[in-house]
Amino acid sequence: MSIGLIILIAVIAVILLFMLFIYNSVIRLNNQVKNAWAQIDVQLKRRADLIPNLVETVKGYAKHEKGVFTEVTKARTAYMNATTVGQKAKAANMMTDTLKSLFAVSENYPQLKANENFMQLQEELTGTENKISYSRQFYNDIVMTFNNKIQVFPNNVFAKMFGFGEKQSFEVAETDKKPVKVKFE
Amino acid sequence: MERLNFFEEIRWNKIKSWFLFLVFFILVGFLGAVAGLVWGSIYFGLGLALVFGLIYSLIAYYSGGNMILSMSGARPVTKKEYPFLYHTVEGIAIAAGIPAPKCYVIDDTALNAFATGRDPQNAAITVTTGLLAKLDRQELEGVVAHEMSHIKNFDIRLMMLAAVLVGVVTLISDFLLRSFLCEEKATIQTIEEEAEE
Repeated sequence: MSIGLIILIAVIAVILLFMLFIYNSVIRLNNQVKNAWAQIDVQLKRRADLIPNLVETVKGYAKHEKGVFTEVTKARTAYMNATTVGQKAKAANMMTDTLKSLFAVSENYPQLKANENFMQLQEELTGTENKISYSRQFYNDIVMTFNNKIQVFPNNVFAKMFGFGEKQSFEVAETDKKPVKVKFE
Repeated sequence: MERLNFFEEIRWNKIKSWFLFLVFFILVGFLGAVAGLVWGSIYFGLGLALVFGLIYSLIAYYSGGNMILSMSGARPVTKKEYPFLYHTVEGIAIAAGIPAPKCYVIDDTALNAFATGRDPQNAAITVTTGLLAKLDRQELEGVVAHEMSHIKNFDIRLMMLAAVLVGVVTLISDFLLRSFLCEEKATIQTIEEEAEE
């Protein structure tokens, strides 16, 4: 065998090894991104599950605030029935807004605020809301890691071959950035 | 701050830990050999030092965290007792991408918190009741996030290794010192016996 042939084989072997390592790490990151996205849903579902209990507790003290109850329950039903990502996102946002109104209304009822059950639920909801934020934060971080991995050289050459595209990070809708208007009925 | 650099830092911490481990054994071995030289058999000293070093490191590696927890008087707590603490720890663990560490509490008015555990899978965060009483949610998040970063960065493993190194060196030095005293005692006794004869 000539030297030229040996070098050629060695170069091809190195390139193939490279492709293997890159492919495996991109696959792993891809799965991590999918997992991170699913984790956000876990927290959103948890929040949706807390709502019926919350509505019952508040109803016990604020029977007349029918408006807020129907809104919150509607939002929850919309979330449970949502199938596509877009529907889920919209329903989740509706839940956030209606919950804010519910808690604002509860400010008028000092007995409700002092209720043990209500305070526990408030703590649970705050904890869950924070976890939703944290899981979105983690999702964005892992998306950035993924995008970096497939866009640096020489990975970008192979990434296109394997069909990996840039992923979209979780962005806050413009409407969410505006301060929420609270209505007291 | 790029996330990639953080991963590299963790890799470096792990490499440094192994390096420290190697230096540890070399140093301990050397000290043991010197002690052995004084005692009359290099291999005895070397063997003793290495055996002690190995046992000490294994115990510290596997039970170090638990030992620190029981020494400090920390008690494990459930989610029902301290939902506030648990939610904070779980939330930040989600953001950090590690499994949630176990929560421990120390009954003390002093404001203190620390993390233990050789890796994120076997980690625990301890806070004092004083801290929980004084800090609000955001402040507690800051403290917990700090401790969580120690866990994720493998700082604890590095620290425990360093503590064990200090411990074994102290132990061997102590042996050496005491052996001198014994020699002295033996020498004095021999002199007294000879004087009596």
